[in-house]
Amino acid sequence: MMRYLLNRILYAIVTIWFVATATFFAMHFVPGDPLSNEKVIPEKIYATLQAYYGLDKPLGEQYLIYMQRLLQGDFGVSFTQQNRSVNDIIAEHFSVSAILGLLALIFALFGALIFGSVASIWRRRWPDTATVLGVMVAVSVPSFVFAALAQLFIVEMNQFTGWQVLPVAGWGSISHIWAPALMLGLGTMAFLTRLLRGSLIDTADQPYVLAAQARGLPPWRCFLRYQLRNALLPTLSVMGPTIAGITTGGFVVEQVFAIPGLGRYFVQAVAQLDYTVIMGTTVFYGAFLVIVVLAFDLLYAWADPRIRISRDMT
Amino acid sequence: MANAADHRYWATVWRRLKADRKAIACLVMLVGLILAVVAGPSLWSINPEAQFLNQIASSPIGSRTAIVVDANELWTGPDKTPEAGASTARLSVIEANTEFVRLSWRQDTSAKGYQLYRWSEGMNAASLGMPVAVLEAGDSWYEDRLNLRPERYEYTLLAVDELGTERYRQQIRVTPVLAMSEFDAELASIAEGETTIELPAHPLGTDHLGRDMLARLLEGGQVSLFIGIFAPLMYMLFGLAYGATSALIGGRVDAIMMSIVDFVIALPFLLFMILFRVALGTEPGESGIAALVIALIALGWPSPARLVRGEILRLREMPYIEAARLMGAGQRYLILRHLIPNVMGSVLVSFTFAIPSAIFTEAFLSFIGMGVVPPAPSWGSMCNDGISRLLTNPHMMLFPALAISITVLLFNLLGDALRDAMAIRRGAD
Amino acid sequence: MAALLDVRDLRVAIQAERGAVYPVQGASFSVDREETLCIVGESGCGKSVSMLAVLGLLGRAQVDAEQLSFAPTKEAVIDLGSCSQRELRRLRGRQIGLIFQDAAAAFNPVLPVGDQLAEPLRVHLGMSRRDARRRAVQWLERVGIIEPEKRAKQYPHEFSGGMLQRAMIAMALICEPSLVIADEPTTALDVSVQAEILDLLNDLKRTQHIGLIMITHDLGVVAEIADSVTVMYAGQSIERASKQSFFQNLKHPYSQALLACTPNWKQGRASIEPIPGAPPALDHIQTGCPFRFRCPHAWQRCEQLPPAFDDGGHMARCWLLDSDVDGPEHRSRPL
Repeated sequence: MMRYLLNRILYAIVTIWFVATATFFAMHFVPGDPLSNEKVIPEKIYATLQAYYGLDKPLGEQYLIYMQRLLQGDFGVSFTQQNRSVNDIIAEHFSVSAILGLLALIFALFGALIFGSVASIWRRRWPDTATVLGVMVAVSVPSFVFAALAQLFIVEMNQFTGWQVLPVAGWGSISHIWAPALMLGLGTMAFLTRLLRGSLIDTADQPYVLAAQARGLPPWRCFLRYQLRNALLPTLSVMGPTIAGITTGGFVVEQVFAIPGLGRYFVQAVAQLDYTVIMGTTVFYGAFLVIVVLAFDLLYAWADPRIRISRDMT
Repeated sequence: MANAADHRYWATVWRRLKADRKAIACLVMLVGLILAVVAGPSLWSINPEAQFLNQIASSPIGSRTAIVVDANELWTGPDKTPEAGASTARLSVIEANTEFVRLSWRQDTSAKGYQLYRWSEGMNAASLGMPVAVLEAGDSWYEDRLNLRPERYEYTLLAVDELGTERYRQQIRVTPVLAMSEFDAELASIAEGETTIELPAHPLGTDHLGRDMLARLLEGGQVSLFIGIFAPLMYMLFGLAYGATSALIGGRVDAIMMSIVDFVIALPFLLFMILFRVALGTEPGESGIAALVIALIALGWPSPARLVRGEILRLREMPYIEAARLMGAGQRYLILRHLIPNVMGSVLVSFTFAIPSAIFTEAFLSFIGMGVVPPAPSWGSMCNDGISRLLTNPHMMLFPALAISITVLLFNLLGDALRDAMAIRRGAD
Repeated sequence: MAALLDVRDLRVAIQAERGAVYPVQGASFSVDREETLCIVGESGCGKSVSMLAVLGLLGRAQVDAEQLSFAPTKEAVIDLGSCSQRELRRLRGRQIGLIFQDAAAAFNPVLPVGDQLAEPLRVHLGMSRRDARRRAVQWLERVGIIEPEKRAKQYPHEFSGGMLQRAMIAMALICEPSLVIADEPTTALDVSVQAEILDLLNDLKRTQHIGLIMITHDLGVVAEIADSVTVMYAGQSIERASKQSFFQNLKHPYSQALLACTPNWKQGRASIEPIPGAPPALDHIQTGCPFRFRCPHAWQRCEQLPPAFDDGGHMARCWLLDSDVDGPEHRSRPL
């Protein structure tokens, strides 16, 4: 297990290095110059700025400096907000995205647990049919449409009740979180519901569930400890990609609800060609996802004794 | 197991697919959709970039009959000015059409001036709306010509004192009639003397720039479907070749090739889509479609490569392949006759699922303004245009959103059906 | 005195998507304490379904029986047919233990074996976690598992097939039930392990004073372990007898055919005669003898369902046993 763990961590580090390198070189293909973007700057100031950002050095040297800084966890200084470090910007905006994403994930998991269980227990009856139909619609409608519909609904609701039940957009209070988090979680919820329903139906036919019933265990115990517990393993194995999906979805939901998250900031930074912010955010997200995927892989290996023990032996 | 290279396999798959009424309905609708998008623009020949300035953001169900008015006439107030002197300024509408709204009121001797506001649907319900004019104490009429549309307005006239503080307000609701100026009517070569004309039909309405939604939806569909089908086709083929090569060579080469796959999969997809999209750049006048396709291919190929490699490794262990090898079948024969046809099944299913996800990605990127560049329409960018006008013109968001959702739904359903039809192989394994 | 389990004319109907299925169409059997009943038949003849029906584990299937009584003690006779799900649940695992054919599949792969063993103790007997655990380890030792302490903490996939079957037996017996049903407990095992498991079951039957129902398709197992035998075919009990009487005089042509296709090594060579054809589909209720399509003696009379012909406790359902039969050529044919 130790060796396996070390191997995986090493591989993750190499992957992060690859992401960082790919980001660096992709960025240097971007046409245009971050310094002479809009206004014309006097030659001398231009040179000073170039030196400040190290843009006057050859590409190889720039890469080395960039890597050196990354190793120290330093993403550099923003091009458009010269007094702010990229680390600060990420810290400020990512916390917003993280809260939103976490809540969306919780929504998605709870929803999937409830709908998946209901559908598998009442299989081929109306709760199942309704769930399957709902899932099909929810995975086929883009998240921004759901977000827009939610806004429309909030506006109507506020108008109907005559007071502000929920804010239409923005950020800052608890009441701002619910609608965007729910909309962000909806697609993931549908995806996980479909997965969980399928694996619950598979495990329902497993002899160990029948054996548990034959031992006279209460129905809820048979369901939770025998059926659901095994059915959750496939769900756990897709948690890494699922979190990546929620992160991606956040870009759009933040846009629609005007939430100052990292996704929205990234889109603005791209529009303004803020090199360091773009690179920093990409590497940050890349590393974040690599770590999340690794963590869930390890968690999966731990949760399934068949894998855990076979790894022990090697 | 039935050898999939056998024609019977595909015949069985096709037969099972045909028996699935839902699948056939999806297939027919998808073919219809693609045909409509390809042939549609020649049937509905309105230029998607033409702006119908008289019909800006008109809804599909709105009236198309417009009155012709003389918009050049200089209005000098109502013929009969209401008498001054009463204690309140009673606001009234003299005439209201989309070329001009004429308001008048009784002068109030105590008021030292007036402010006029216009509120319309979608504005903050608590506000008075947009300030239209600041008027003198002696004024008793106003002509509003600012960006008028055939929707409900609420005008508010504030009577103010010397300091500009509100004394009282008068409100009036009005819905301007659709109108066309004589000048425009002449340009559109409509016979002189006509008092009403029929404006061009827009079955799905027009957008905020007065462009025909149907024409744009069809052209946008070409863009969205092209990206959605072509890019996955390319990266599935590349992934197939890559995965097959990796599996067949095996050993260290396989290990290295698969590490590369792992690395590329680890890249944060959407961020790199944006990065590539920006790095590949769009010169002025370019649509950004090529950049999107290249970015999709660059990031999309690893999943099919992994799938194909896994399938080939699995198939190689199958007894019948083993048997063929023992009987002296050559590598080349095995690949062509057994491996590739067998792998094609899973590749076809994942291709069917790759299409909706590519359509989603395009819509996503265009929605946040990182995809197809205006004026080239795509369903995603049309949604982006629509969302800011969701409250006033819901049809601008509704139609492109429906187009995306229905297309994606159909491809998803077809993919499910195809996977079920292919499942005979899993059963026979 | 009532038998431990007495089942008469059990019938099961399952409404499936493509019409109804009748997997059991009149099964009768009974077993006493310290008795081993073997239920024999080909796969798909309703043996396992009958057992699940007795335990009330068939979900929404419709179960009927003339008699379905269970007497865990001499005084208390329980009518299983009129029990609620809740009452049945209290009997399952507590009074009736079930041993599955494939032990590897019958254990939850993500729970340690010891935990799964201890679970019925905690649920049925309200034991503390520690007591249940100790009892589980004791039972593992009792069924012949070495290092039971260590094994109790391990997961099912760390056990061999034979060991899992032993653990399964321990799990069925752990609450000291009065009846144990074993559904082909040795089929999935190596031949050498099979004998050990049979011995173990036989021992436990005696020491625990349990009634044992053993489902098998192997007449060799029957000869080794049974006290009485019931042969099932197409969901019906077609022959019932004590072991001696059964092997001395196989009355039903199906039983004879079954014996004929069991390898007989005593004669120095294996003589196997397969039964031609396949059992009938169970999508309708049989109106004639279900074996008539494969029976070498079949004649006109077999179009009617044969009644039970009982001769001193040896029952068989075959028209050949009817003393009133007027077809001389059939009666004269040696059985």
